[in-house]
Amino acid sequence: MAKTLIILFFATLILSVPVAFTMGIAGMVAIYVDGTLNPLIAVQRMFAGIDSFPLMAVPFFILCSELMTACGLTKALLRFANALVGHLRGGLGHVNILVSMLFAGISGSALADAAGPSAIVMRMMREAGYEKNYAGALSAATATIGPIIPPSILAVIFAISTKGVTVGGLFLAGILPGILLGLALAVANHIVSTKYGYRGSDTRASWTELRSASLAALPALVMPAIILGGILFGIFTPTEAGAVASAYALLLGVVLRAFTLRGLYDAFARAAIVTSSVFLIVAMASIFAWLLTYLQIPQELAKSITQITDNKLAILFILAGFALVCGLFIDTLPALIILTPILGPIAYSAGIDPLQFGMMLVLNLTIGMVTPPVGPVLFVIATVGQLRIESLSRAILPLLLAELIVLLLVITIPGISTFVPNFFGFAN
Amino acid sequence: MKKVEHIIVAVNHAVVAGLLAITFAIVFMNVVGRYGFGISFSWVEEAARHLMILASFCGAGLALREGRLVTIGIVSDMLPERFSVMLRWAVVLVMFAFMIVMCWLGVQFVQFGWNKETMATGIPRGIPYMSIPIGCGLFLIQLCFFAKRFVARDFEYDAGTPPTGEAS
Repeated sequence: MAKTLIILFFATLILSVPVAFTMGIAGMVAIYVDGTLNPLIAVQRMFAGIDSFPLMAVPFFILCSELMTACGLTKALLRFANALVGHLRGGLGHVNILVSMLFAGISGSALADAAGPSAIVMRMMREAGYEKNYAGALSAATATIGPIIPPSILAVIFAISTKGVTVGGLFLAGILPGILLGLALAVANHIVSTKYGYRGSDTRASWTELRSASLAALPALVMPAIILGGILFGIFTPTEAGAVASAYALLLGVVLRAFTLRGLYDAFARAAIVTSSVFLIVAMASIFAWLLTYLQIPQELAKSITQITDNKLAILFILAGFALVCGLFIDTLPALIILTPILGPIAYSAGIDPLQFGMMLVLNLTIGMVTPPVGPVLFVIATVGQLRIESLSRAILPLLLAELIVLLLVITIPGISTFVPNFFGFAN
Repeated sequence: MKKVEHIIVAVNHAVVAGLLAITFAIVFMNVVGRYGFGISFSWVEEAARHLMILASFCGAGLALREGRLVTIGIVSDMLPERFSVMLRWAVVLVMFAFMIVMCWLGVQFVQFGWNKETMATGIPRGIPYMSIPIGCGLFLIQLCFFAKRFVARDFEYDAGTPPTGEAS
């Protein structure tokens, strides 16, 4: 049965069956071939997989980012970032990074960032004389900050499938790694800009400009405060935070007169359809993940890993390497849902904090979004910027190195992931 | 036929957008109720879950049309066009067969859950379970209309949005 499951999964994946279906089909056929399990169990797992209130944070955060984008606040964030760091060496590159960090506080997705603010700054960089592949590579790299800084859809998905980890806790765990990621990319951008002579804007923004830019961006900057503040002080659950944030974005759009009725309807429909594509994967992956657990594959894997070593750090490195390879070939979301129940138990039995493991896995798979052959963020940037994937992949190498260094830090120093959540009482 | 397809797509859009709007409204209302008026309803969580599950299954067909069902296309991109088209027709058939099985199992699942009650609202569990056969059925209808365009990769998405789901 295990063989049928795994072979069919990879076969359908390679033959370009939609990823959600690959897991459902492999699971279903394996159940029928085995004959001992009731096929209804597949349907039951599929339903149970998405029957979770914390998971309902996903549609709300998608809706929220749709509404905020419709409000035109991306431009205000861009102006704010430009006023802050535009004058530095490689200024627009730093603006790109800062905007992604700020946008990450509104949206929980790397693809939303890549298609939104990152694509805009990429165009600005090219107009300012940055080499087009570097502009694209930096935009792709900065987009990966989206799922690390809270809110994060990947964090929600990890938390709901791991006992003892709350969505709020994992959100907080992402703050330091997210900032580190931004800093690492800023250092890389500084080095590249020095080498190629990319300069910042000639004059530093005046205080008046800075103040007016901050005021314009304030409505967008308040959003992360609502989400995090609400969760931190126990005012609402992450799901409710998503709903409140969406209500705030809705109110903002009405005040700013940014919506037409048609636009609003489209935003809701689009958010619902994107949610559907996510939940379909979560539902189908639940069949697959349940079967893996039923077949005791995680236990077998754990046994063979602990035979090699029982050192905590070494085990985390092995798991990270495994996840990194998976992230190269499997799309982020399905990889996360499949790997969480397989690798998680190995990590926890070795005494690794679930928050640290979760952060490592999310960061690891997010980095996989900018690496070929399966790098969804690269595809978006290549399409928007009309770049060749090969050239883009080469240009991203120094930035990838910066991201891998952050991953290395997250693996070796547990405090980077656990300090903030523990400080606010989200210990396990 | 074009008109029928158009109507089905429009209704499908309205249903998923409406379900999300209702879910959003009741969850937000519960937060306001809790802090503004000191009341909150225990049925909200359950209703929110079940409405979104219905929206998710009903939206699957639309996700297909908009090219949001992510595929890994390396092999089909490498094949000569003729074989690539054949492969994509095979994918359509595989999806069709799988959804028929899911629809059929979904109906059995509804019957199975009919005499069990949900925790908060006390309705038969079979009612929320109906999301599966309804959603799979809708997907099958959408697939019938869209199969040819799916094979030609002629997806419909709005300008500005990437060709994959923006969720990860």
